[in-house]
Amino acid sequence: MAKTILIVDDSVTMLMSVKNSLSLGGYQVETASNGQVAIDKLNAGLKPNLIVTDINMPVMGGLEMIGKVRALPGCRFFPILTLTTESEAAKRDEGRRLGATGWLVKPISGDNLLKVIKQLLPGA
Amino acid sequence: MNGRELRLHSIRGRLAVRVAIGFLCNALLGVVLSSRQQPTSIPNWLWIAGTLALLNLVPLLIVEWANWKGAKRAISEMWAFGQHSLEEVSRELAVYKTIKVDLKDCKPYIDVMHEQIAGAMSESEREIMALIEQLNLLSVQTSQQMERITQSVQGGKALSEVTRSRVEQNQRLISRLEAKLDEQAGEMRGNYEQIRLLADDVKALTPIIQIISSIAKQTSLLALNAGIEAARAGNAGRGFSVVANEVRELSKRSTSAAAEIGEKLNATARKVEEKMAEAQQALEEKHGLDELQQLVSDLTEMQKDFSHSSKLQLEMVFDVEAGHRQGVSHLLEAMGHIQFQDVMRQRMEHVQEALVEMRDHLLRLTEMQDRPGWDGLFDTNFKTLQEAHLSKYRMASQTVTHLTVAGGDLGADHSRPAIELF
Repeated sequence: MAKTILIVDDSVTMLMSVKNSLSLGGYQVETASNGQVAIDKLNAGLKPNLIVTDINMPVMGGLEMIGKVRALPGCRFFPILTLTTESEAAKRDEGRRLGATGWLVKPISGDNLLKVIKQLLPGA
Repeated sequence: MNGRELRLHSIRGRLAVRVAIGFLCNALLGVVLSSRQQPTSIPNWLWIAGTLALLNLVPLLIVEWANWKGAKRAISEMWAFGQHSLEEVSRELAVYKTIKVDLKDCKPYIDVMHEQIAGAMSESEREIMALIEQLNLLSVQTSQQMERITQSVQGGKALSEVTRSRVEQNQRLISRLEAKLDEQAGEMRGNYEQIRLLADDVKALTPIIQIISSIAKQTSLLALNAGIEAARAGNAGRGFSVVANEVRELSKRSTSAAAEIGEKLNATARKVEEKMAEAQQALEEKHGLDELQQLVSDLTEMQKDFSHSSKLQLEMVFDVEAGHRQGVSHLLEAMGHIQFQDVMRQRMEHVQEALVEMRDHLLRLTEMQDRPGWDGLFDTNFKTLQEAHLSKYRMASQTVTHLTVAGGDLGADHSRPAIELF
């Protein structure tokens, strides 16, 4: 059964681009337009194997979302990758402290994204 | 120092001289006043006022009279300077008013630019979305094609395995058939050889029959001669005559038997010839057997070709699969490049924010200009606004662009690795 990845980004083009790339990689993909929508989906029972999230988003940003996701039951250990234009070291360090697994800078090729995800989800 | 400033300096010098003379005159007046202490019929106030007027007027008149030409020239210059200054002030006032009006007009201008950028971003995003839709369709088709190719690969592998097994099986059958055919051909050649030997044997009997027949004829002649001799001998040869008759009878029977044997031999020879013909036919059919063997050989070659074709077909399917995977890789690359839209959007949003910031700053400046008693001091300016942008940038490329244009430490590494796993 295909593993599920949740993509969180306020940019529709980013959502579509990353969704297509991951679908080509054989993953089941769910999307959310900001951190709050992602939290709502998780509370509604979505059990992703991995989350890819932007940082700067309206309503709820990626860093806040990571902190809240890690506090949810059963969401403490699966990988969370940030995919952002943000290059500030302080934010990266904060993301790491909150529980992010990796920090990816936009734009990233589909091949490289899939390589990272396959490294984090072996056997997928 | 320009011409206007030189003229002004000269005028100021002359005025200073006059003021100095005035001071000297007043000092002299003071001395005179202090020396006059006796009473007089003229009231003191009048005396003092008149004296002051005269004493003040006289030196001044003297000085002005002495310098009236220079003063006239200086006044002319001052007048010209005043006129020029007035023109300058008027012009600067006009410029100021124009700039003030223009600054107020910056709002619609910047708003238009702001909306132009927003429109361009919107159009770009719409087109990118259309492109993504197309790529999405391509992606779906690619996935379906991938499934078909995977099935083809699996089918090709199964077909190849079945073909290989069937070819091996057929090869074994063909080998057995070839062996059977060889065996049959050997038997046929053996049969033909035996029949040929039999025919030779039968043919070899024919002269013996002739010999027997010849012996029988000679025996008959001998018996006839013996009978003649027995008749000539009379009673003495009567017994011999009986023997001679018996011999002649035996000869007749021998001739008859020889003829019968000859006929039977001929019959046997005909049968042998028939068998020979049959054997010949069988050997001729052996030629058909060769054709069959050739057919078997061709079939073997065909199977080899088929097996080779099957292998090539499988390789072709593998090549198609590899090519398809490469296509998928290119598609993934394209998907990555599309993300530039989001990067560009964020950079343009920052430019939009800067435009709004610039507009608001200019409008505040015009408001401050209208404020009475404004001392010209302002809490922000473009320099501080520009410097503040450095802390707002999200991307290293934004910082590098800023520092390249505005100047700054480009030596520091503003970039971060594209992929960092913690």
